[in-house]
Amino acid sequence: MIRPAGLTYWVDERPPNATLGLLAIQHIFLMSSTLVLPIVLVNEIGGDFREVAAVVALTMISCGIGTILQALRLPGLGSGFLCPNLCGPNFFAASMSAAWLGGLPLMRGMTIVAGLVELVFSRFFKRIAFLFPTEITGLVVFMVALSLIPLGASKFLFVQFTGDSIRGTSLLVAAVTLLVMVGFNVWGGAKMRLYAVLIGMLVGYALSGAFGLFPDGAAADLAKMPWVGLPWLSSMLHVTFNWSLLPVFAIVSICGALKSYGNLVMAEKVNDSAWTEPDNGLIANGLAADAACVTISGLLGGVASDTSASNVALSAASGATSRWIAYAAGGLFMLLGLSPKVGALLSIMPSPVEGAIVVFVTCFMMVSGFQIMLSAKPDTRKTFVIGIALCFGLSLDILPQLYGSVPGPIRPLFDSSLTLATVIAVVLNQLLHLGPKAESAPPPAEA
Amino acid sequence: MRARGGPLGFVLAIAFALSACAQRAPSSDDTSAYAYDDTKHLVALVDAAAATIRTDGLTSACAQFAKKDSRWYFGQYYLFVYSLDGTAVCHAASPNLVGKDLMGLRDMNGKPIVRFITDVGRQPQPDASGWVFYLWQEQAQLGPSWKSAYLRKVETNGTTYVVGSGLYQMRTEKAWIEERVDAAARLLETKGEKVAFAQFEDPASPFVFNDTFVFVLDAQGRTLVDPAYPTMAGRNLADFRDAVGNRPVATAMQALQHADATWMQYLWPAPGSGEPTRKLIYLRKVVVDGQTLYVGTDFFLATPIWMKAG
Repeated sequence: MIRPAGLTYWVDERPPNATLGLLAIQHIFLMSSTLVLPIVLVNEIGGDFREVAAVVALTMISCGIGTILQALRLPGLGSGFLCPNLCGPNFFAASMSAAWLGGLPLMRGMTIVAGLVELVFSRFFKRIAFLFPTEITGLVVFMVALSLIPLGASKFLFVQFTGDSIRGTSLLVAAVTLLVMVGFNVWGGAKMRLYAVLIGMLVGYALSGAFGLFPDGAAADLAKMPWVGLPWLSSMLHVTFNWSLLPVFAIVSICGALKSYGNLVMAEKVNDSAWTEPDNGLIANGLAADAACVTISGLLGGVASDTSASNVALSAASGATSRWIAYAAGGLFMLLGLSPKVGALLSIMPSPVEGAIVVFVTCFMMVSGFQIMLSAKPDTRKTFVIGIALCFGLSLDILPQLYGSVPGPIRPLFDSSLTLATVIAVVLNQLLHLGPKAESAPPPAEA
Repeated sequence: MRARGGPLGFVLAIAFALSACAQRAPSSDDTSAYAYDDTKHLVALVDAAAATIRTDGLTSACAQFAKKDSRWYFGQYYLFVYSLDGTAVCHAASPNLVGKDLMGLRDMNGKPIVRFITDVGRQPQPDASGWVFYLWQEQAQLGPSWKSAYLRKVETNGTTYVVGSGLYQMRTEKAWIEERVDAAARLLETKGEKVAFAQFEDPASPFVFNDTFVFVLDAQGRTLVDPAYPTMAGRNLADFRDAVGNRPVATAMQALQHADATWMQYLWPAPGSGEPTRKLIYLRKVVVDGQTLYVGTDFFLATPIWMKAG
């Protein structure tokens, strides 16, 4: 690995304590940006206030553990990179189905199964790594970035449901927050670039307070929460399983693994200016850490998490990729999980602020995906592999109704454009390598 | 080459953005029970109108409500005020109705709209509120559409009025479903099966709204009231399987062994789309003459935009 010139704190470099604390807090805010998901999930199934607090806390604790495990470099476990975990939307729909059907015990059981599926995938990853040449790796990173767009854009515009109007004040707050982050990143110099997201977020919080954009009843909910409390659920010791949910959770788990693959590749790339292809040993260990985190989420009773594309992109944006930040952020996140009040405070991030952050970090992820794709010398074979995969992958996001009649058994393949594009690219890549080994021509310079 | 503008341009951009914000967002009333923006706007509008009637008096308020392209009358939104005898006191969209007794007005299903609206004003609470749903002809449409009206009781100069506003084709809120099914359960417990069942099956009753119907199941899950399938009496909904093979009614009935009411999600193709879409069932347990019955309804739940992809 060669140290990239733009980094202030490289992967093994330890920032001074105060800087480390601030950088960890910046990552914690981002990790907290989706804590609203466990709240929505427990509320939807009719859980009470105590259950909401416990599930949020347990989710925070398992994400903290996962973040630390990922930063370790143990034999077979951990990539050694700053690649935090958060409760992302990847597992949300499946977790919700399980929670509706069998409450939190079934959600826990299926989350454990999902973790074990990813663990098996990670153990076999080195053997199937040939399926992911550089251009497909770049495609995966790019598609991970695209998967952030629905969350980022809808939060940025503060549009929750189709037909909701865009409010001028929320758009203003989102735009100013984004501009502040971009401004500090572009003109702030190395020092200010470290904290661009934190500064933008503080401005966004202040403006959101001034314009009344915090969620309804947030202050009352916050007041009810105790400062310190051990998370406890009455169903804490109950775990159930449902065969009918196994295919959904297995596929979501593989999708999560593909997304983590993209995140880990991105983490590798930002740490190595001479990066040419993924280190599959490290990636497999990283996937094992991610699998362990999902399993721990299920065992503890939190909502399943996966690696956070936003946080990896934040490390690239800030120029601080030190894994010490992961230890600090992970440890602090676990501690904060023991304070229901702080957990609630973190989970009420105003929508425009969350949207601005996600849009900001998506830019880095997207460009990285392009760079990786183009770093593999383009030829006609790669042109078709990437082009066709993108055409049909993107068509799922642009025209989802095209796939309305896809039969049940292969339906989960069409739940995510990331999965669809990756599967098409992998299959096409193998198909186009069949037959006599012909030299592939470079693509025409101009259309 | 470094681009021109740099920090100065950036600061100017922020200053411009800040100056573009002419005024603070209006403070909203307590609309946390609702999920959708249009519901919240409607409730906030009517509550603000009730406050204006109280402070400015009815005559002044009605003059304000009648002003087109004002905060009271814009787009689809307009206000009406009825006295409890069914007389239209203000009606921004149809001023020709003012002064007329509309108590007999009925919708396409025969639902007595103005009687239901004025019923809100007859509730004992001084600031009672409620919803009335009716099938009405939307302008320039070939067929009728569901209209949802939010009403608020208001007293001024010793007289009680009801102020309200409505919108066409609003998305069904969980709060509406809960309120209707709970009311249906109370009716069943207090008036008995004969009276309650007749109301649940009557399209002119408040229990038929926004294309949803109240059904009643026996302890085994067989339908006793099933307005959606009147020719299939006695079908067993406990056997019903959703688009992915789950049995939501059976699971909900199981959950009601330890609770009085429950929500259950299932997947079903939405009309006009082949994609399995989230539906919610709300089921409440009631005991009538020693027999356990289940009262419920279901509806398509709007999915947050960010959940649709990825």
